[in-house]
Amino acid sequence: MPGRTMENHAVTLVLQTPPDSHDEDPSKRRRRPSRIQTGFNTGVAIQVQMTPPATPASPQDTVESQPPQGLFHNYLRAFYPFDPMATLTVSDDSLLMTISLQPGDLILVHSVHANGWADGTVLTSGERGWLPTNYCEAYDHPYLGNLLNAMTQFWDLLEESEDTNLSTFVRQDYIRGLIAGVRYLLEHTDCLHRDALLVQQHTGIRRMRKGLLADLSTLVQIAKNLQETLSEPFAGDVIHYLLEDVMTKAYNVVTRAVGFVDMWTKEAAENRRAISEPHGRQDPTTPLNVQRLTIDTGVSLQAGTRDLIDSAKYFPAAANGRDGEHATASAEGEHNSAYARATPFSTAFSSRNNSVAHRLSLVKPERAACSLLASEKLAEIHDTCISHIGAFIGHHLHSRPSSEMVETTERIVKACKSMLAVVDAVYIHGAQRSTLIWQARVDFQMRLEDLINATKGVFNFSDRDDGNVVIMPAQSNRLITVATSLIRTAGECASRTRILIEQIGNFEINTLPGPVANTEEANGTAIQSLRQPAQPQSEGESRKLTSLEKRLSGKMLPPPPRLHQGASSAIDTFDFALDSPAGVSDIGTPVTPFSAGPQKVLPPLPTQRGSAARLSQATAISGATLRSRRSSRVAAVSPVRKDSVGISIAGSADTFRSGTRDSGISVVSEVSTRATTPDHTKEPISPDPALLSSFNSLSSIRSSTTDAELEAETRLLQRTYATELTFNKDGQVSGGSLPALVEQLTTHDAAPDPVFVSSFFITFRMFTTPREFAGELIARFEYIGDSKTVGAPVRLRIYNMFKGWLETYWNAEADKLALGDIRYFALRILKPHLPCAGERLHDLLRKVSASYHNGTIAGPLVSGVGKTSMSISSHQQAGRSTPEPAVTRSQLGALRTAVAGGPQCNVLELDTLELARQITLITSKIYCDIRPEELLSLEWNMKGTRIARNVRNMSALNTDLANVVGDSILAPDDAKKRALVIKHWSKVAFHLLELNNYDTLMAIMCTINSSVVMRLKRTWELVSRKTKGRLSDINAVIDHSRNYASLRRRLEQPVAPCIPFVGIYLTDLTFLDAGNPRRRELPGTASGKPVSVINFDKYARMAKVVSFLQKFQVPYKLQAVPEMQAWMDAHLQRMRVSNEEMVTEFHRRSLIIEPKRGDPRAPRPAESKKGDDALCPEERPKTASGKERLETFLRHNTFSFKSLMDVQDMPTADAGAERQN
Amino acid sequence: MSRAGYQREYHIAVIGSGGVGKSCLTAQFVQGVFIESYDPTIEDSYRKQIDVDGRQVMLEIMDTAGTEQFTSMREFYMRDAHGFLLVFSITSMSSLHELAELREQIVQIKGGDPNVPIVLVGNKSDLEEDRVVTRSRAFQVSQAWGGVPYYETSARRRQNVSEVFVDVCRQIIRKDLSRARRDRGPDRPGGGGGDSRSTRRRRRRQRNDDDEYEPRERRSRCTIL
Repeated sequence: MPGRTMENHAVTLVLQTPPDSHDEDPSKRRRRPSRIQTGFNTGVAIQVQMTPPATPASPQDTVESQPPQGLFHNYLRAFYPFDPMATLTVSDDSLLMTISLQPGDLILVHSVHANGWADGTVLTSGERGWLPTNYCEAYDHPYLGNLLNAMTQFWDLLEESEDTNLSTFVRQDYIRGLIAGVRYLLEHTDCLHRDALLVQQHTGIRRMRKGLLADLSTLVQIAKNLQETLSEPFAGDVIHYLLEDVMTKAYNVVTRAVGFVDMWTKEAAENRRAISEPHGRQDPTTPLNVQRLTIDTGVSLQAGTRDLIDSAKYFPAAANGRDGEHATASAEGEHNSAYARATPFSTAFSSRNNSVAHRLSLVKPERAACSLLASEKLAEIHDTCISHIGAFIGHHLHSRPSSEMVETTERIVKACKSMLAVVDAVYIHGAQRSTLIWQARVDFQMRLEDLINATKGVFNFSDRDDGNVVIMPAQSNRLITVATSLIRTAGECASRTRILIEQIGNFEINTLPGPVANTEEANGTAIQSLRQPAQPQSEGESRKLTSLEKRLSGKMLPPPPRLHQGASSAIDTFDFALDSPAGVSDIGTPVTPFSAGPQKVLPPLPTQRGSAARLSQATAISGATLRSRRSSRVAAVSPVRKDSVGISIAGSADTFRSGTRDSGISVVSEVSTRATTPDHTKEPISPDPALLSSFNSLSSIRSSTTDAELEAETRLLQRTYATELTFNKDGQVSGGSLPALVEQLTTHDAAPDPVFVSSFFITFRMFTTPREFAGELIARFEYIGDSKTVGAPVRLRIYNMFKGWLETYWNAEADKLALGDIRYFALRILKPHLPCAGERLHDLLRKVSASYHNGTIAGPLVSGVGKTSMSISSHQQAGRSTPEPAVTRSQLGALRTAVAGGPQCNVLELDTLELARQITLITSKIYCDIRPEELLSLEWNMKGTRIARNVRNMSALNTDLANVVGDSILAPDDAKKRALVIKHWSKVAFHLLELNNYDTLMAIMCTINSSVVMRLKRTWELVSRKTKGRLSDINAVIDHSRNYASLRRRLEQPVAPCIPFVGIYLTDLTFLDAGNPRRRELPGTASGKPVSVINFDKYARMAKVVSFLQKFQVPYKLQAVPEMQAWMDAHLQRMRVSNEEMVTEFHRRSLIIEPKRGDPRAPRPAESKKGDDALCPEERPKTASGKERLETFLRHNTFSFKSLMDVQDMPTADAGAERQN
Repeated sequence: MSRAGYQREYHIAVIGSGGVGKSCLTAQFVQGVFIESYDPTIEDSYRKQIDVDGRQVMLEIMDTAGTEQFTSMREFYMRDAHGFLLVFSITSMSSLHELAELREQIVQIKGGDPNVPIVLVGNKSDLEEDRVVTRSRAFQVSQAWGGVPYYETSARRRQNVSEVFVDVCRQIIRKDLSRARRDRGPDRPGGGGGDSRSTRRRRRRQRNDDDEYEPRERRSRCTIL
């Protein structure tokens, strides 16, 4: 049975995979299968319901699981056919299903469960579901890396967009990555150009290349559709079809690319163009395979070898044939099933590594040599054990004749004994470290005895003559429990032993423990017993199980009933159990479960069935973890492909599409820059879901709409840096090389994302120079060419970039040097191609240079700072007229005289609202002048820097204001007056809050909360409860805990005009700079060496802060009172002069006015609250009497206490002593 | 009110003049492991739980980086902080000098308590070739401040980063304990306010403390490790 032999090889060849595909490091996972994807994805439901069968919920399991080794592989490639659904009609369970695999299928992995099941999408079919990783091997190829990466990102994006925004699809960034990936592939396989040697010489390559391009062009077309549909109001459901479609097309492209690589590897290899890299990669693993091979083959190899080689020769073509290369669609089914029977697939895939022959040639010589490795032996025997136990459990669940049960039990005992023998051997070999093993071994033995006893128990109670016993449900349950715990202990035992083997190094067991031979025999028989119905049966069970699990899953976690525990733990063990097709075989042996129906003693309980199903499912599939040949039998059960018919239908649909869509292209090309919304006629197909859902790419080849391909080809021939670009989960650019970023700025297919553009312009001077940037734009202009579809729009965009730069984002100082480059570009490069644009750009340049000459170049020409696309318009204010200033004539007069040097005007005399308004106007003026480059200079905190003038003015103003407030509070000697001043400022603060002037608010509150003010106990006693309440309200707003959470939240719904507290954002910028590296590495480039690109994420975040501040740069609609401002200015100036000493001055003053610890001279005011209330009218200077009184006692009270300080001398000694501490 | 019931929540103020690398120090400490992109604008940006001698403490770092010029803001941070990292750069003598003034302000704000938990940090120790502040000079300063511990750190090389935070925590805890022993009053369960009382409450308490505006007699402080 040569075929079977081959399967054996096939199986063992895969053994190299488990370290990769099996022991996943969860932290490496890149995506969560958490969202439900309409249509082709299954999402959470699966995760929840499917996991229990395999859930490692029991803690033991996690202990046992081996330390993760490999990386998470995003892509797997199926080695064996796997068909969970051969005979079943599916209803609502379909979501929970495992999916079928065909050899060669490429699978995008979303997550891998610890037990080896992976949640993945088969790219060939677009189906998502659970699949056994052991049927697959990790797939990666240096040339395909970029494409696969793009696909992964694309998938992430689509997953996200499902419930977030669809804005990403307005542009075609996501497609560009895929195109660049294909380009990279073709470039590196020397097949980029149609007339490349390889393409010319090899029909296979030529065809695959053509197919690839066709697929790609379809993808591009659908992406365009999507883009257009999105801009239409009725989008709705159509979008979802389109999204699905675009995803399917992307799958097709990737699948095709893989096929191309297979083909290329084969043909190119024949052509003696050996690729050293993949070859080298394969080498290390080969010996391993060989070792494994030798273990389990008892059958002739020669035949297999021949077969293998043959198949290797023709398989790639055949595999590709599924993609329509060879056969017609109808013939395809046959093809596949034929292969399935011959089953030499697995090796064929390795043909991409060009090492099939190599591998096989090694098989024979080494075969005999190393079959005795302890690890191999262990795995082998463990598998046997598990399979027998599995069979045992299955036996009980399906009520087979008891005679069979005896046999099964015997087999278990034999297998387990041989396992114990191996464990012992290992134990002896590495005695010093193996207490754990010993423990596990003892456990294992005990369980085995339990099992034997339990079985005996069953027979003891039998009173039947025919040897058939009636097994009571309780007994049956008991047996199952025992058996499952046996499986578990076996698993523990095995894994511990395995760990030990790893520690002490592998070694050969020379004397085979006796029973092993028996097991081998047993296995042999087991092999014979596998019949096709068996597997579908068990799979059927598994399907029921899943629905069952729905109901049961809730119960799984708390300490479950015995049966449950047993069952689940049984499955747990499949982590290591890894084999059990034998179990399958036993379940399916002569009497299949259903045919055994009449003999049933009692109908199986749902739970039992559930567990059985779970078990058998696990055996059927994860049994394939392939420790032994048996699993290959599963592979032999190959269904006829069902989709062959569908393919041809879909094919014709596709033909139609690509034909029509082509017209779309040419129309688009006429529509200059605004490729976003080409106004051409609606494409007839776009709303038709039936058409859109067609996906099989094979059609596009047959239809051979060469125009579309040409289009794709031209796109491919364009130079692109899209591979050097990386996006975050939200679809925003998070990194890229400068050329890639520039390319992103000037994409041909859509207007660039405005946020991206403004982020780039705001920050680009931080990661490149203006000249470099200009150079890159010019380079792009040149390499893009002038094709109508691509070149022209891109060139216009480049022109627009220059224009926008000069008009909106020009930084007079920094960008000066680039002026020459731009002028050269405008005249020498742009003008010959686009005369008008060149002329306009030149005009603009003249204006800029002129303003340099006459010195008016302070800011951008057209729109000011903050007038980027994100600033809030102030039209909300437009309706309101400017409020009248609340200031009286006499107040104005007093202010004027105060500024002129006359008698001082007290702050209490002024209306709090007007005070708040005028301060706000002063602050706003500075705030609105802040320029992005100041914020990004990160130099505002340096002493003596001349950069960031406005930022520094801002902080200076803030500090001065705080000092003015402190000065005014501390100035009066009378506590009552101090309380009044506090009240006054608290009112100002309240108005500032209303005016959204958080900066000044902060300054005032900092002072009121400062220790020098806070310690004035007597003063605070006189502050009314109302004022205190107001202050504490404001304090809640400006609370700096939790990173200013409350203040930040207030600014989330911005109401311009507003002056945020700049300090917070300066800190943000500082930390963004400190906490994020300048460069980042591109994710998982297969090609080996990591590529480091600009960490645009950092700059985008910084730009976000900057534009956040910018959007508030809207002037207040308030009327200035020059007198009051001049007066404020005078005070502020005075504070600035003595800025440095203020802290200590305040401290001294505070100690003077309220000396610590009850100074006898300190007057203790008798009146407390009453007095406060009495003073209330005085605060309002408008009431004549109060005003008079105030004026009298405040006349000589100025903000300043400096003059007072000179007179005072005695308590300062105290303060000085304090300071010396 | 503290989340997840951390027993202690301490506020640490990182103070120093601009350009000494405070933010790098804090960012390094808070980030811990490498993360792809660091966002300092979210609530938890400056929070970190650490283990100090077996105690779990939640730290909220208040870093003045970026707002050095807002001198009035300093006190805002200082007032609520339980411990201080005074950071200078070993490549700048003036950055050390400026700390003297800041330290004075801290002592003032803390009611003249000279035993405020402080660690003196000389950052940028990787720039040995540009060093202008000698170790002995810095050590002198630290001794003059009542023997506060002195560390040299390199945010870039992640040297001594968490050590300085742990040290200041240790001081705070020690202070808490000794105060609790002294006061034994039920009104001050958390000692130095280490427990998560609200800002407002703390403020009120401080108001009371300030009445007795003098160093508390707590000179029996243990020597620094």
